[in-house]
Amino acid sequence: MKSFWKNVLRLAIRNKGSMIGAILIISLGMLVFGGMLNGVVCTRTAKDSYIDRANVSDIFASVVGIPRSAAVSLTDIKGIRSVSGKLVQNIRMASIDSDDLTSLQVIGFDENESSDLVFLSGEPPRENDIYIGPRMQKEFNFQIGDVIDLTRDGVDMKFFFAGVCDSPLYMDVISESAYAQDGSVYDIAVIDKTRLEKICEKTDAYTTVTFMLENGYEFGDVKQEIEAALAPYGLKDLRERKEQDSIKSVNESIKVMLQAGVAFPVMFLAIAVFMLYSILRKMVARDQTLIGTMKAFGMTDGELISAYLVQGAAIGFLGAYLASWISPYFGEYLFNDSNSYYNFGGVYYTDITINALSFIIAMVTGVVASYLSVKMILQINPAQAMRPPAPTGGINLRLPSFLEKAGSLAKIGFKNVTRNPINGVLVATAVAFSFALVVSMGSFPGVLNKSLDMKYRVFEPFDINVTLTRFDDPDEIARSAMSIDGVIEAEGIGSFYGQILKGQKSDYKMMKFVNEEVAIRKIVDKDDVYHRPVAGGVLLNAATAKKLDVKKGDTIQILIPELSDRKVDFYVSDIVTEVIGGTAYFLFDSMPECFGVPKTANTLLIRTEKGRTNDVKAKLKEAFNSSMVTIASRDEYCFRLDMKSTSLVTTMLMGFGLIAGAIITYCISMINIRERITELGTLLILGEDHDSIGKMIIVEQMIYFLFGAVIGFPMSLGFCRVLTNLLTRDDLAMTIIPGWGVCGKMFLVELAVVLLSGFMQFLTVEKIKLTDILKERC
Amino acid sequence: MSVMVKGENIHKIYRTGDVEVHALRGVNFEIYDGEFIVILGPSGSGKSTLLNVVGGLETAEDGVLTFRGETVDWGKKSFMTEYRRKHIGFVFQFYNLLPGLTALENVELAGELSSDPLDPKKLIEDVGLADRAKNYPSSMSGGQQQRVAIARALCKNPDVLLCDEPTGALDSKTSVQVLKLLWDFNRNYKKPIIMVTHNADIARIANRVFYFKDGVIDHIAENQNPENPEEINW
Repeated sequence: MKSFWKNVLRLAIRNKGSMIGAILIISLGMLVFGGMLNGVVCTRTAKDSYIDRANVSDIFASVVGIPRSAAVSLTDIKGIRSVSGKLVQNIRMASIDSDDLTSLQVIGFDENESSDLVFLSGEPPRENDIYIGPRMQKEFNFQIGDVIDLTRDGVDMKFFFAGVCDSPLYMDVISESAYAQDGSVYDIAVIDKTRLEKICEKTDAYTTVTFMLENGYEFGDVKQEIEAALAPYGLKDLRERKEQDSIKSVNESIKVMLQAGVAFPVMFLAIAVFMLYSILRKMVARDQTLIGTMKAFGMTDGELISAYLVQGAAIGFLGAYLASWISPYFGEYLFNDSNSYYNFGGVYYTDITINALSFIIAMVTGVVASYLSVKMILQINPAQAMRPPAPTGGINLRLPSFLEKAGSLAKIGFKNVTRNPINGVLVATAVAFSFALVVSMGSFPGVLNKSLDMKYRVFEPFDINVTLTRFDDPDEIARSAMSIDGVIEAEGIGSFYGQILKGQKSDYKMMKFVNEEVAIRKIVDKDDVYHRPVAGGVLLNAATAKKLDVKKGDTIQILIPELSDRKVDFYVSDIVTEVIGGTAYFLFDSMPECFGVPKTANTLLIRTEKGRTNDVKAKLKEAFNSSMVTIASRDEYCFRLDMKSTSLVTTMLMGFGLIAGAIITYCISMINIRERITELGTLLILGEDHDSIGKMIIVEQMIYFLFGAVIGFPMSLGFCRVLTNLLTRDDLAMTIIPGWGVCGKMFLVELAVVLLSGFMQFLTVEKIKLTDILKERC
Repeated sequence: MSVMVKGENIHKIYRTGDVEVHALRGVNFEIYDGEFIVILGPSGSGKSTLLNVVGGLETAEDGVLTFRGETVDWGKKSFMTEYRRKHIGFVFQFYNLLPGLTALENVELAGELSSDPLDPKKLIEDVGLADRAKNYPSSMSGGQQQRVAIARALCKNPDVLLCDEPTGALDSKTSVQVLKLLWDFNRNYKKPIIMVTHNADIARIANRVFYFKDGVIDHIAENQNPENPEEINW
């Protein structure tokens, strides 16, 4: 049947604008699919390889301190294959700059360690060597041999920079007082283990204990026994590998990319199916006489349909082929972003399986769209070869009263909209899709900005967050801080690691103790509603509540080793979904009342006079013994950087959505006008002028546009919901809602696209040869 | 001459909503090998419907149609497709050429459907369009397009050629050329042609003329001396 195939192909070439449009839409979908998935696969491979190389443990525990011998004896727990540990301590750096307050999570290096390896760029550290994480090294441009001074409890120690260090367990190193990692104030460091033991005055002790499980055992099988065994040593945190902070953070980033890499191509492909469907359906409807002719000649349905299916597959193939040229660059860009951010040391490669999958999905999309549109061939009777198809009636709506008196062209324009409802729906959907996708993606930066503005300037308007090494009464700490020149407000809060228990379930969290009248550390949910902790109660983060299956009013147990070695009952006074971060909040009064200890703060929040943050920071060095200092503006900056890849993806999708919308609107509009060449040519023959027809086209386009805008807004709410779900993590609960500014801009852009399509239609009308119209038979 | 196609008590009803149109009301006929049949009648009399039923384009509500003694199974779609493919050739009033194919390719298309096709190039030459073989239908006149359509119908080497108003859209001079082609085919290949027309003058080239009225063959006229189309004046 090569001749018929040839005919189908040539007709497709004659409709090249529409066909190229369909190819481009599929190509966009496959570009996002292939690029993001390849980026994800490479990132995941790099991460897995990094983790494998480091021989990462299965379970991680953080304790105040446990003797090595006691830790090793934990292998007695059934299911534990091996136990190892590290001495890890937060220590301030003293030597960088007089204004800087930087801290290091210092790890004692032991050459005999076989698990949780820390990778060093040089030889194992000698007594005065120090390796520092890549972010801080980059930030301060440390060179081999540079002198690094550490200070602890007023004692300075001299080290020499020996190189950089990294580990999968510290891919995402966030200081306790910050929301995002910032190499300028906090990173990991590695020194000789014996030297660290001397500094901490702890010999043969671990603060981090890690476990390897026997084959067949899971975290849940050994959790309770480990908790019981480590409780006497001040268990602060216990979690399995996938929940380990750093690994979890990276996994969640990858998950977002993966979900976006699937969700958005599905949208593009759905539009491609819709578009291809409409194009081919119109082609078949137009050619039903010819198809009837072929049937009259004895062609089977299969022979006829297969030509269109092959064409659909070819469109899909070409779309995927085009995408396969560009998607590797897109994927590599995404990969490099993660690879360099997390120091995986991975290499980008093109995954042939994803490429093959892209081709298969694109071709199946083409074939499905073709089949859906050309299955009407089955209904075409060969007798239709004998007569041209009768004009279809469409929907003859009663004209609105204001149009009753309007000219014929206005009536024709209006009636054309209702006569070809599929065309109208297609153009309106194209406008709506583009509008919704761009609005939802474009609203993300606005929502992010608003969330950060509210958090850093309204709810938590402190400028400096200081983690103290010596605990004191919160009011006393605040009073001391207020005596520093340039401080406007100061507040002491308590931050302690602890365990939340509900029945058999438990979770480890950094818990916060605050005063009843919190001033610069307000607790606010994502709907901007303030919450206050109450006596005997706890305000619980929604993610934790969900994990532990806890509801408002339930009683839970809290174990905070630094305050008490017993579990204390609290009732859940409320559940809070915070936009960023989130923990459990108690009143300071709970310390004496429930834990039996005096009110103790270990974190100082300071709001400074405008422009005096650095002055105050410098003075803090002398006034307080601190292990860490975070500057809120810097934290906000780093958080924004952290969201950069998400912003990048949303911006790209915004661009793709706009392009897709423009292509679809243009293509469907051109199909629409080609269908009406005879009608419009006849009007011209009758003496109508081009300008009037142009106005009629504009009227039609405006009707489609208004419909599109009306559909587009609710559609954008749906897309926002999808985006919200994609972005939601334990520590991020941003609700994306359409921004009015973006809506307004998109309204104008879509209007321009629709009017431009109308203009292109008008140019087509200008090219009509009236003599050709006379030859038309229907 | 043996009977090639035979219809007995053929009924055909078109239904549109509640409206029923009885297009054929018990039609009986026989078509013999090598005959040139012309069907005449006013609009709506059922002549095109009969052509469609004979060509296997439509099924009848009642009656029996046999082709060389074998009953045409209207209920079986695959049989009908095979029947059209093997035995029937069509020429349409509006040519129905595939716009994406050249004149020669349109003819070749039909050849691909047949197990015993005629040479497409020779047919294009026979219809006098050798110099337009590579032209697309859009650049050809109506007469030229109809000649391509005839070549296409003949290329399948069909047992019966059915023509529905083949000159309906053509001027008289071109019509004569088209009719001459059909007449020559009928003479040279001894294969029957059934032609529906409004033009009574064309009946003069036929062996027999079926006069249709209100869905039945009102009467059949035999023409002992069919005329050459070139001798007809209208």
